[in-house]
Amino acid sequence: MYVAVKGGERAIANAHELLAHQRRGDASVPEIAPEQIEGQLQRSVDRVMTEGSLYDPALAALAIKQAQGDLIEAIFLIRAFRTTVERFGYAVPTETVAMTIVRRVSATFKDLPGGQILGPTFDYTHRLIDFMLAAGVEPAPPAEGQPVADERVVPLTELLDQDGLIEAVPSADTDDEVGDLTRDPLDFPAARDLRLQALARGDEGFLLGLAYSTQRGYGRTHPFVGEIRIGEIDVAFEAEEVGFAVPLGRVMLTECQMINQFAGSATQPPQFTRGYGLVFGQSERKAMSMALIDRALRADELGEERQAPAQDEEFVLAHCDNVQATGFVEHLKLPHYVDFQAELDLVRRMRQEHTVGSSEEAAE
Amino acid sequence: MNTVSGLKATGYNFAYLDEQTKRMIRRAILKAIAIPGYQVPFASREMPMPYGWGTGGVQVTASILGKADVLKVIDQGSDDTTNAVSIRKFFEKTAGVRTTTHTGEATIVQTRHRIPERPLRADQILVYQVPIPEPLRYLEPRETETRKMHGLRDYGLMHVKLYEDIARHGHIATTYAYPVEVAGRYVMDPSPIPKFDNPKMDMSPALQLFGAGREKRIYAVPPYTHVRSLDFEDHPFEVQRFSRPCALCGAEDAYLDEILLDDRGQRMFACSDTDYCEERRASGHTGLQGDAA
Amino acid sequence: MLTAGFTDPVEQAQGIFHAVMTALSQPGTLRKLGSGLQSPPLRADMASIALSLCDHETPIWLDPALPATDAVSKYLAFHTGSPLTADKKTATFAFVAEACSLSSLDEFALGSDTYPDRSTTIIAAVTGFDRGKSWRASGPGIDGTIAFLVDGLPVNFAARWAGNHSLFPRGVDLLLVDGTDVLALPRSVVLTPAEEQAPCM
Repeated sequence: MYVAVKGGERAIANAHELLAHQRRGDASVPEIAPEQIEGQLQRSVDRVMTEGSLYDPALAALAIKQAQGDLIEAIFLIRAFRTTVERFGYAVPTETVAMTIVRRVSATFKDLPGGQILGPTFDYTHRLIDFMLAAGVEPAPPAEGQPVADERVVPLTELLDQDGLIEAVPSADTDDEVGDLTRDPLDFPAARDLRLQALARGDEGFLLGLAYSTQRGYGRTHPFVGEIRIGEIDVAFEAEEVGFAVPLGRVMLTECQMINQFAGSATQPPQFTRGYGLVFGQSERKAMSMALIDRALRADELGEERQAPAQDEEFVLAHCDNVQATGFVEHLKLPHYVDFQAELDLVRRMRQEHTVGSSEEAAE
Repeated sequence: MNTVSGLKATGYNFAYLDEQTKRMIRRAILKAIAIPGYQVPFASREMPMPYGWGTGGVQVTASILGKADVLKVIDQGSDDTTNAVSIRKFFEKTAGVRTTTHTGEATIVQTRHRIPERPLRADQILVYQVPIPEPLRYLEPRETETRKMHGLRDYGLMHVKLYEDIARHGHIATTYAYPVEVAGRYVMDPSPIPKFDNPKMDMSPALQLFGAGREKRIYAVPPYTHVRSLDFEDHPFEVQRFSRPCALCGAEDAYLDEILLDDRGQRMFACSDTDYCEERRASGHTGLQGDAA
Repeated sequence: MLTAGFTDPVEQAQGIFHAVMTALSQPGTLRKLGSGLQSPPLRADMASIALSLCDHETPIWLDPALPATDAVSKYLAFHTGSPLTADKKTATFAFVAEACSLSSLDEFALGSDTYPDRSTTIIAAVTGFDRGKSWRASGPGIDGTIAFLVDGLPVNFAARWAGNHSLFPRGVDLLLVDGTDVLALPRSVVLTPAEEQAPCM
């Protein structure tokens, strides 16, 4: 007699126990602490915070530990936690001009007010495996520089703006509420605030690939890195009861202002246009990709013909979220017995008809 | 004043979702019922389970669920498939509601890919998990375009697609997620149920709610609503028929799973609706390879 | 003085929603609206619907004919956070003191062809479901036709409703309340007046 498979509940519980065991790894090796992840795998923490849309390094580190280093899984954990957190309102908009800068580079001018600050970067490191790291050698103490202390470092784009060479920064209408795609379903066409939100949350790899495609002719934007700046900035919240902005703390941000060519139109003389990227922590790759795609997505607004994937708002916004993407791709693992049975039946029937059809033809 | 009453031991609200989210989803459900077959956009939340694994159905169920409800969860017709088990556990834990595997006992049935064989009653609600709610999506990927088509009731593209099937294969080659027209107006995706189940949607006494979490849409078929599977006069809609009865309970009217028994081509066919099969066996029905339980 | 809201918001809101959902799914049938609210400044049936379904995302239009409008707006602001609107076209919910004063339905938000859900749900008070004019309804949610009585609808309601239904999928949805029950008329419903003299049912 045939007995159907039962005991799904037990199987799930066992599988999860096995997963936890696997996460711990070799018990003779000390367990990793979230503080170690937070302090020594900062770039992973930054990515999880950015794509998880939540600035909380300790929580992101814990999520990375729980996810066994699978960053998309960690981002998912953070997102699912984030939705349950109570909202009090929006922070006061931060001005990145006031950033305490640790790194700042421009590719457009050799020198500029505020200077070029190389800061901590993988750039120009020789990608040779450092076997000394395995031995646990302490790095030499960094050189002490003069801190670029609390002085307004004017972004390059603002300098260009003085000559009208670049489009003006779109001034925010303070009465206009900022959109939030986690609270309202996304409508197309989406406004730029929602596009930027989607891109900031978007998968780094997907954005990188799309940004790369714009450099290879699929929606070319003639980009220059106007400026990348990394640093810390204060975040404040205006509580109605108090009547003034209460400081909430400091966050590390990476901002990229891309400068792109624009040929001008019948009504506008040629000038440079902008693409913008902003992420938590330190990720130039993500901020730059975001800025390139932001600019590409402005095709309609600037009267450019939309031909490439990176210029296609629905395509980009509907597919850049890795939590959505991984869920839907991986759902193919779920049973599809019923649908497959229906297809099986159809294919068998069509094959039968095909055989009958060809033997009839042969008989004619 | 007393929101604490809703908090379970898990620290989350009754049925996980916060009350504001439930209100938003409830409003979407009411609109969906008033406009049968129309996909209402809603601010789908990120759930503690992956998109594509029932987040839409779970949000709908969480929003309609009350303490007195009895919940049944099925996947592929079965209560014991892993994802069904996982979703049932989720509600046991976050809402503490009674669950059942018996279709007749449930007030809410959440399903993926099947409609139970036992006819539903007016006091029951069927909640479908939907992966792609837009029936026109594979014909026109753009939301801006499909929305216009629904607005203008312009379903020419769908008819062309079905007709091309007939031209190429001699019949319509869609076997599941077979499009339907609801109350003579909207063309709707019934979720990937086999077209075998489509006739059960028509004039069902139960309310049918559809939740697509990743795609952020909710839609509904009210009770006693005409649901017509799209077809042509010369190619009327037909459901799949099985050439043999269920090997376990002998049912001839049920959708069957094909089960591979060995690597020499031995296979058997048994009910996909496990509760239906078990109840039939319990009442004495038997098939060739089963015995009465 | 503000009176309290639900004593058990989770359960009571679910109960009211369930009644409204069932009413809309089965138009023409009566559903009990247990309120459990302590002397709200607004009719208890309307107050309980408001507290169950409204929040800061749903602008409310309040009928100026409702008594104690000032106390009502304070009550709604506190318990729901809903903004009040004087413009019917922007209202997600509208509370109407007497259904018989309902002027044309198309003054409310009707939604668009592409977004028919962006429309007003009107909650209107009638004087009873056990007397008055007899109606016959058909459409989604109704097995064939259903007959019911309503006392307190405007004289030319049949024509107004026909106008609303003809806009489908656009249009308003109507929740009629009499203090105890709710009867829903979603836009999908076709309504015809039965005999002028209300027949016994």
